Amino acid sequence: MKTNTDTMLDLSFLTKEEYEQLVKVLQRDEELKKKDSDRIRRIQGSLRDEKKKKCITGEWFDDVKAQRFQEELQGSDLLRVSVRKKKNRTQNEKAEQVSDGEHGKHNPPPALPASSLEPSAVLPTDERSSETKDNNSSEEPETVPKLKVKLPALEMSVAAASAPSEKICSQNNISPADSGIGLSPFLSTSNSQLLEKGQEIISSSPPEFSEKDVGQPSHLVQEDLCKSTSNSAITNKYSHEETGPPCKIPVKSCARPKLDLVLGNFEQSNGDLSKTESQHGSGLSSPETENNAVFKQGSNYTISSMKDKPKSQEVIPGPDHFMSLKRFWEKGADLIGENGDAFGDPSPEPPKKPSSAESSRRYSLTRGRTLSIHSNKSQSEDEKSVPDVPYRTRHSHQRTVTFSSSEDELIYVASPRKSIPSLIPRSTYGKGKGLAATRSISIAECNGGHPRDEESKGQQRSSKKSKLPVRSPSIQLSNKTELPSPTKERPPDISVPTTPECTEECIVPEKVRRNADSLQNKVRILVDAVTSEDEKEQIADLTREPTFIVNGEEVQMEAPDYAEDANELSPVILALARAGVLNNARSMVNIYTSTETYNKPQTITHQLLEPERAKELSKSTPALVSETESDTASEVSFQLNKHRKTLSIGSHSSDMASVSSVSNSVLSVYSGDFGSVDAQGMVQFALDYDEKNREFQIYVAQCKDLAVVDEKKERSDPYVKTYLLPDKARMGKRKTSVKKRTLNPVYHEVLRYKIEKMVLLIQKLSLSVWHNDPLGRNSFLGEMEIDLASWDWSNRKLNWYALKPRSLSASSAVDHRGVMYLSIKYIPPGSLGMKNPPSGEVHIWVKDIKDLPQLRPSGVDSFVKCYVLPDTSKKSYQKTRVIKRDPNPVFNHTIVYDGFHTEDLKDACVELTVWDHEKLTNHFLGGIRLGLGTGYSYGIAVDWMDSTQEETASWQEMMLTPSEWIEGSLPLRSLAGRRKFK
Amino acid sequence: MADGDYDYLLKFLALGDSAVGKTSFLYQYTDGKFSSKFITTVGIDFREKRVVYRANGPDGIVGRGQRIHLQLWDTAGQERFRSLTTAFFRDAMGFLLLFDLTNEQSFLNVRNWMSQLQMHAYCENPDIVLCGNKNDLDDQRVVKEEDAREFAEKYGIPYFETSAANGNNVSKAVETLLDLIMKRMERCVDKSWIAGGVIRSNGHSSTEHLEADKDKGKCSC
Repeated sequence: MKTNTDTMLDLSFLTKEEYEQLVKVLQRDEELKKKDSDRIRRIQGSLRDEKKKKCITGEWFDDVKAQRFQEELQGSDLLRVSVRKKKNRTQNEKAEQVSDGEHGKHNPPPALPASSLEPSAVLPTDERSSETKDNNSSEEPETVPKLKVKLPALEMSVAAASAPSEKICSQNNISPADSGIGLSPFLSTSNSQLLEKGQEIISSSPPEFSEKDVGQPSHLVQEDLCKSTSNSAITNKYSHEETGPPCKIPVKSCARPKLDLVLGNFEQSNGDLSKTESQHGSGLSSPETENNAVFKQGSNYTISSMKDKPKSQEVIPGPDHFMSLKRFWEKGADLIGENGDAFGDPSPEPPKKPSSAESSRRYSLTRGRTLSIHSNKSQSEDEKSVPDVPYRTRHSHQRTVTFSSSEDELIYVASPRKSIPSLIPRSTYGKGKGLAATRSISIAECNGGHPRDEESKGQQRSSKKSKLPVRSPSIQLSNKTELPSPTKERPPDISVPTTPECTEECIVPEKVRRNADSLQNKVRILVDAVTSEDEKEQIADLTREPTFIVNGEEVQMEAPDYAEDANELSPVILALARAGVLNNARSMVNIYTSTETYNKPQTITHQLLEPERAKELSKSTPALVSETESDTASEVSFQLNKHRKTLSIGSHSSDMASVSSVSNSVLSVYSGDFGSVDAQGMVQFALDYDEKNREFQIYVAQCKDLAVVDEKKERSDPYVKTYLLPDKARMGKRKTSVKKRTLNPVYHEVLRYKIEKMVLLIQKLSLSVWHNDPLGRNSFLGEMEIDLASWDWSNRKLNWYALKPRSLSASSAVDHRGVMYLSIKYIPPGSLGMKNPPSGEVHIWVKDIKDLPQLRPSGVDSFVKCYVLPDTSKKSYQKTRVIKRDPNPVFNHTIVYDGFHTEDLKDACVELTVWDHEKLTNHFLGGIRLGLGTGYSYGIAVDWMDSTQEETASWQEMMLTPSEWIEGSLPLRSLAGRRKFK
Repeated sequence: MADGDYDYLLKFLALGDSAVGKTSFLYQYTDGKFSSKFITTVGIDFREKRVVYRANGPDGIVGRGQRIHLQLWDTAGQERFRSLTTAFFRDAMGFLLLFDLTNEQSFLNVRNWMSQLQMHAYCENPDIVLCGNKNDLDDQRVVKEEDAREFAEKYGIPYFETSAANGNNVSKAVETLLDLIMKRMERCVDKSWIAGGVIRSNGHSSTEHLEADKDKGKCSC
């Protein structure tokens, strides 16, 4: 996610002594934390009173804090990260030594602190940020820029790629590793490399570390995390970590000749990672229902296992540690079992988990083969039990690939269900990408890990690089090929795996992670949401499939074969084969919908929907309902209102809407004025920022050679209008006066924006010239945009700029408010048995939103409000929590309204609005209305029954298929007739 | 310390201008000692102390003692550490805001510190105890007690005149804060609302959640 290059502490000013002092403080803090988490773990079981528990664990505080600092690191962690970063910078050369020394020092204390201090070790957040910032490694640079770009499709797909429910966690973990397996041609090389490395590692690895690192940190951390409220945000952040570690391992091992030192670093980093993972786990569990505890455990379980995994490879655990682990796992397994019963466990994982746990108890060697399926933990245990056979474990990791493939299948399943055929290919594409992304995550992680290593060991770097060219191409190709045919879903998955171990940076790490994160969150919710028995069964079926593969004697071999087969088979066949499996999974779809949805959003929104919408717009008369706007929330809806189609266009003018009128003008562009006149001519203006008044000034001097609007009269009545994008809603537009009957108007007017420079610099100035027609519509005469970030502010002179025709992309960008991913479900009364539910229920599961516009430099703090219209009373009002500073917030918030009769669905409308939360006011960002869009509610004409086609389609589908989740990705839009409500 | 042999881990944080005596204050509190040597704190530091807290119930009944482990974060007052120290604000449950009674500016800056807290603390209205330190240096005193009291009242926070040198009011200030935190904790858990996740709102007839929402919005517990 967007962790915080900006919030990263700059410690460059510290002297060495100061720096060391800080490190010591952090170390002490870490010890205290460890002690405390020990304590909490001890007492947690014995505490029955929830309230008391919250107090004693400090959870009460974390809960409150989470409302404000959801995704933020603890101060100490932040510092730790920053410290590490600094170290990296300053002590590259010494890295080896340092790491060594640090090991010695820090080993005894909990693994976490040590790792945190370790330069090579990276906290999850750190990694992200470091990737951008730190990129000392030459590898990264390419990825960095991309990170900032939003690739919705990728993200979504990634999310999709990861399996729903808890399973995801494990899968994520595994997947990177399996990527290492390399189904692709590269496989052979990578494997061999891995093996070699593995040997080295084993021999060289210091056993002492492993124990502490593995056992304690995970427990402690988890508990720690558990007590803190689970924030989806947090989860998000960390989710990618999970993937990271596993991938790292293979990579590092490959890359490193000098294992000893590296290992140290490596392990530590693992510790960090694990920490994050565990956090993540807690995050997952968060859905704050009674289930909480249970879920937490479950999720933790998976997660923690992952963390163990990396370490386990290198380590030969001591008996104590082992025992504790075992206990821990068993506990986890039990809990999971309970879960399953209680919830009807939607997630495919659950069944497996227990098994893995059991396996771990048995310590059976044979397990090694099936390991890939099972949690890492079992693997690690195997290792422990059979220290001599380090090889195996390693292989098992690789094998995990199969598992991932199964995951893919699951995803695939979902797609058939989609009612919109056109979507399928897209979604597939998305998926493919997603998979790739997931894998790429691992890569990214590797990269993240590498830089440090590289610093210490320049030599290996070169070897890595050499790999790059080969692998990256393969990845990309696979993605592309997938696109064309929907059926080809398989191939992408398969192809993807190859990349994992390669570790090249070709892929954009950040995005991927994000996706993964969001996935997990989604998954979590899913678990909660879905509970029917059949689903369980189906899940079991699904899970079985992968297992089957894994179970093969030589798993290692099989995985590759499998992959190859997949490659060779035509996509169609594959799809069919899968379909067989998938059919069962019908209900599963629900579970997986989240993934699907995710894929869908990007593609659909951007590719399909936008044009469609554009069309709509062009057709439509702006439904300019008399909206008065407060500056903050006002919006004019230009969405087509079905009922208003017949309205006359006349009402619309660019003048009319005060603040949010960008949409108006866009509208007007679409509505036919656009293009009626060719843009031509130039505009002369100057820009300045008045530091004293904190004011952005646009000195508009004049225009010349403007287009003629009224050909008969050879006349135009031009005026100049400006917006700051994307901040239009807040800052509004500024206009000059209208100069009549001239093509060369002279204004000499200053348009001013009160705006902080920092904010200004992330804006684009959009300056457009319009013909003012008081009777009809204003006509677009031309525009130009200036990216203020790159503006030379020393240039205060008047300059001429050519006016350009309105670019569609620009206008659609203006309109783009983000896409909401959600699922809705209607449960008719009595559908679950006698009087269960007593009345119909509408479930609205707000999953996440992608690409929210950022109105402020600090980002967007969004939340979602929900009303069921026509009821606008507080009774029907629900809202999600605020997710701070995330343009892609994951809410995973399920809202249930009951009291519905089936007939009510026709007359009700679920209105979801997204707001940017600020202290004094909330800014409307966009919304959707789920209803039939008839314009009438209970026979009364209402302006809010204006659902778009997509929205209506979702609602209809929900009505037609009761008790099923209908997933949707709906573009946020402005809402007509929005009532004022706070 | 006997590890983990306590009931609550509470984290406080001392802040205020440079050289107002934060470190000395905490040192006095934890160790009962004072050193007049000025050693500027580097970024952050912390001290620990174990105390027993007995809640005075409304009915005057003294409950069983709660064993509290205090982690007292000390912060650098120097501006150059500002970004570093503020990052720690959010993790503290309560704050000791110190100024120097002999230094007018340090008192004037309390307002800034307050706003820093509002911005960076875990919530907008955290528990704060204001301490005018160095009240042993009576002859050098420049901040009037009434001014300080007035200020504290305005913000609704307790005020103490303390001396890290002789220990005057030091424990009292910390214990007051402790009391505030313990009470807030109780309020918090009593009120615990369902946040996020599955909210079962009974559609057209649920008001409880609304109230919860409101509370949430206020972020106070």
